[in-house]
Amino acid sequence: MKNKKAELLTENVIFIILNLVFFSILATFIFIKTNDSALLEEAYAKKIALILDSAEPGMNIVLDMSDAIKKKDEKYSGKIVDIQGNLVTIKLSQKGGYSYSFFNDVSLNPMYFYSSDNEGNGKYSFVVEEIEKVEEGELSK
Amino acid sequence: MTDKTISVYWFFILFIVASAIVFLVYTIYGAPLDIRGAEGVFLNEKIASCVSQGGKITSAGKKFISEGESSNLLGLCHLNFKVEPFKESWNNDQLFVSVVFSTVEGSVLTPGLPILAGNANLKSNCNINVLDSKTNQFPVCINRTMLSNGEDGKYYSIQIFTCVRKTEKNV
Repeated sequence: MKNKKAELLTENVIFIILNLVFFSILATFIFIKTNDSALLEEAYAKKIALILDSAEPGMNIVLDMSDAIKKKDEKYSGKIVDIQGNLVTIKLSQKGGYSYSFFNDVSLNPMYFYSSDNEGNGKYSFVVEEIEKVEEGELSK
Repeated sequence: MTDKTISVYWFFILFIVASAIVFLVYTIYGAPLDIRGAEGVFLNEKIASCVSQGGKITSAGKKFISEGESSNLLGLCHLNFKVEPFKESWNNDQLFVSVVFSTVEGSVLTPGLPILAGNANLKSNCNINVLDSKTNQFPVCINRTMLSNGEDGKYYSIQIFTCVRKTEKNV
């Protein structure tokens, strides 16, 4: 009688452990997939490209990127947002990075970098320069 | 039915549920964001505001009418069609624009020659099965026609056609 009870208990324990292992693997997979910084890199690169595509000279565009800044790899010390020519690159880790081009030939003020508060919330500000200023600058070169 | 049989069924059901969840997660989070439609609309609007503002042809628009197909569409409308290098297959050929100025006299439209920029080959594959995820590998195109008033007393119908490929990064 005792042996049978012990066997039943062992079976139940194994069953529960297997279930727990199964669900924890599933939960880990979902957590990793939904919190992948590559998703944020792609989303912000495309978002900024679209914003700059529709930008007009003289605009000052402020973009809240707190969630991306919070997910940045601590070991990575480079730029999160890098705009070279008409190419936006978002990089949250040394190995990662996503680039997307925009077609609007606007010139951005190079001082587009971000301000943050103590809680780690950060905003990027992009100032689109007036066409006249750009043309004057090009003429003076 | 024994307890063991029930547990086998239980794990079989769990496996099916887990497969469905994995499939959904991959479908939702694995697919890239498709912004080609928005890009096409923005490009179309950018050219529209470049050639006509407040119902009147702009100075850039006048240049297009006078210079015709030889005019510099990218330069006059402040556009840059350079794209990022991607698997060596992208060679600044992911966008296309066509602008046609037609004079309107009564009900008669007299189209001028199209002013083109970008990869003209994209036009032939436009909007083929855009709703089918397996075959939406084709460029997304936006077509728009508007009327504008020229200073020469003529009315112009302006057809703006924009095309965005960038398939590998959006589908």
